[in-house]
Amino acid sequence: METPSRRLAEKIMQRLIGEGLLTDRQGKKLIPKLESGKISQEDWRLALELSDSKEGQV
Amino acid sequence: MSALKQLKIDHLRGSVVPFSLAFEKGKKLTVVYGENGAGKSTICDAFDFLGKGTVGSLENRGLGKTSRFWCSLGKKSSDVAVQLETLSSSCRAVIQRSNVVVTPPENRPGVEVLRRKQILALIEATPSNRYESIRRFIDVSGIEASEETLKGLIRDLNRGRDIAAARVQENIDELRRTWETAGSPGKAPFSWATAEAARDAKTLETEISNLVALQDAYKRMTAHPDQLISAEESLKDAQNFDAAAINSVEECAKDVAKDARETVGLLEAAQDYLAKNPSPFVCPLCESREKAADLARRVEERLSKFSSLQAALKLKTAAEESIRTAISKIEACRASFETDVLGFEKWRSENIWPKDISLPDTPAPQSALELKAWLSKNDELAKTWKVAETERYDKKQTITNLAKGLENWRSNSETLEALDRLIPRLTKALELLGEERRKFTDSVLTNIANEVGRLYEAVHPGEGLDKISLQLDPNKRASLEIEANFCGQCAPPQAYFSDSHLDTLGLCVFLALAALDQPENTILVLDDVLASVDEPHVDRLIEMLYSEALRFRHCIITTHYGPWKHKLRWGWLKSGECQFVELAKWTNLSGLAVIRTIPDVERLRTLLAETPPDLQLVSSKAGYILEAALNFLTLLYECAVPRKHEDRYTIGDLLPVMSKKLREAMRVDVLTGKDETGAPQRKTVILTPILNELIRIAEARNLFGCHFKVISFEHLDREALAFGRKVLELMETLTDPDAGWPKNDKSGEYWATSGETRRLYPLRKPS
Repeated sequence: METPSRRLAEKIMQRLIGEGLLTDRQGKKLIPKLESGKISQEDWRLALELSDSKEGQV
Repeated sequence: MSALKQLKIDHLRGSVVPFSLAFEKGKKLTVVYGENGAGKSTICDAFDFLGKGTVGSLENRGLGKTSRFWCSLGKKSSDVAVQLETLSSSCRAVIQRSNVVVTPPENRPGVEVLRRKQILALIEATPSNRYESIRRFIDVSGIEASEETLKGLIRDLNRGRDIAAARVQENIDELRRTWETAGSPGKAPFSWATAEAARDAKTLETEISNLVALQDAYKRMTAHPDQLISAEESLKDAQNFDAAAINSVEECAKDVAKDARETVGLLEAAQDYLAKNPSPFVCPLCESREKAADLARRVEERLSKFSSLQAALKLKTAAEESIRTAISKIEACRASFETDVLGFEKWRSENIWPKDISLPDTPAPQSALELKAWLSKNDELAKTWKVAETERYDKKQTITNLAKGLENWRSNSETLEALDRLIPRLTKALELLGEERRKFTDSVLTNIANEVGRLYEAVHPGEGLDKISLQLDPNKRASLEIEANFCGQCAPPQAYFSDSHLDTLGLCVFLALAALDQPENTILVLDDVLASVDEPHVDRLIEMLYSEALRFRHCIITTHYGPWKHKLRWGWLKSGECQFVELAKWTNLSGLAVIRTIPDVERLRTLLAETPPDLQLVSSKAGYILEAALNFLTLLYECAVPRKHEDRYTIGDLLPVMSKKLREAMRVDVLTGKDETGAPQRKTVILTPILNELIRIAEARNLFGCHFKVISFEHLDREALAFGRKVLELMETLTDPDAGWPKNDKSGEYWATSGETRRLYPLRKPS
């Protein structure tokens, strides 16, 4: 059975990507860490900064 | 997942001898009936053992670790085995080193067991224990941890932002102070600071370097005049001393022979000779032996007469040495003097000096006395060079500080700007994350609550108690509140619901949760959960369980509820999906044993189909079923029956009270299928001839006063067979194996089964 955390992690990443806060690649990459609670502050920061810089490039 | 075929239990709990339960093909619901102590819970334990590796019926009985009681009395743990066979596979569970081991593990079935004693556990539990029961469906602790990490990051970055903002303000204040100190030049501190910081500090460094060198050159000259004058004075002193020494030598020389100097030399040589040869036989000069004996004494005596001359000569030698030294010193002073004067002159004349630097008008003189006067004249001027150097050094420092201050300001401003961009994005991510988490949890809880409400409404329709809500307490972690609508108000159900209603609610909650996790792969086991449900609700509860059981891989319901047994045996309930199993009384020799597994109508059909048929059994079974059918019809048409203790009516009591008018009016429309347009097709069966034939057989054999158990002794063989067939015909006409008996009068014209597979006319007994 897919855990509730896994299902929710996918929904959250979908939302964050949809809102332009994360890139598609970063979002999908972070799902396992988000689900397990092992995502670090640096992971969060880097992912949002990368998405911001990509947004800036566009 | 394939359907269940057979469960084998060896020496688990009540199975003192190996027991097997075969499952009927095509039936997903198995009702296991048995009186208390028949071994129903052992069957539930077997599924628990297989699916969850435990025996739940022993828990919370104060036994501590229960595994030592899992085996039957007199058996060992190693004797225990449970095997489940399906149409396509099988798996077997045994105990190895206190652990339940299932092989192959991939065939281990999903099992959910609800026991009577647990039924209120979820309702009456504390909110935290209630949360534990549904944790696996809403546990998003990993997400919550990630959310906390994000929250911590935002908190840290906000602190960092405050620090960066304070630093930027400090940088601005510092630049302003520097600007004001500099006399507020230009229009604004920043434009001034930027322009100042852009200035080339190398020019200042060169000027500082030149000024330092100029001062060094000047300083080196200052000592020379005094040094030179001192050296010249020393020479004069040496010359004067030499002149005096010469005079002294000449005065002494007058007192001795003209060749005194040579004589002294000769005597000193003789003295040296005599020191080495103290007793010569002859004079070393004239070789005479005369006076040779005291020659040394006499040489010494003569030499003493020349001593003052000798002293004067020594002084003269020293004076000459002093003159040489003084001259040498003067030459060295002069050389250094000239070098330093030239060096200074070089710095003075060959460099381009800024306008604010004043230099001596004339070159430094080569004469000591003139230089001394020159230095005295320019002494104040030389001090301004130090001031100019200090000013330039301060200016250079200011430029360095301004450049550094501006760099810090830019760096801190960039940090602040980056954080001002990042923090709102992180905050938005946190908000979205929290929103999704709450939405997800609420959605799961709402779905569970709605499902509980739906199931509950099926059992208690129209009672208005279906508005169940499950809510997480926002102020507590892992705490689940349950509320229900009671008389229009939200209240904890355990505060106002009756025990029976709470039991139903507990069962509904369990079913709703069990159905959340792949019900099609789950074997649902309900152990004696109907005990406290009251009669008016039990039929609906059973109907609800029938329909819910279809969602699961298989459903096993154990019960000691007698009416259910009779309703099933007589086909009063939908039995198409149901397998009925009755357990015999348990003994320590035989263990669990199955009495029957099929309803009585099916049993009668089987008996009639046997070759040759057992006529005694046919008569007995048919009489039993006919009693049940007449009991149903007389109740339905409110026929007047003499009152009897314990409602033990015989065919003789029931058959005559169905009047001729009623019998002639009775017919059944039997659903046979649908036509091309989908419209139902029915055939009408008149019940009158069936009932009349049954009365004829009964009258002929004088069965009216007999209970069904003695009917078999009165029948002729051919009548027994006819009797059995007529009863079966009556039952097949009147009842539907899937939809049961026609008990619904909502049409206002007839009695109908569920789905109107049977329509029984008339609705009321003709007057």
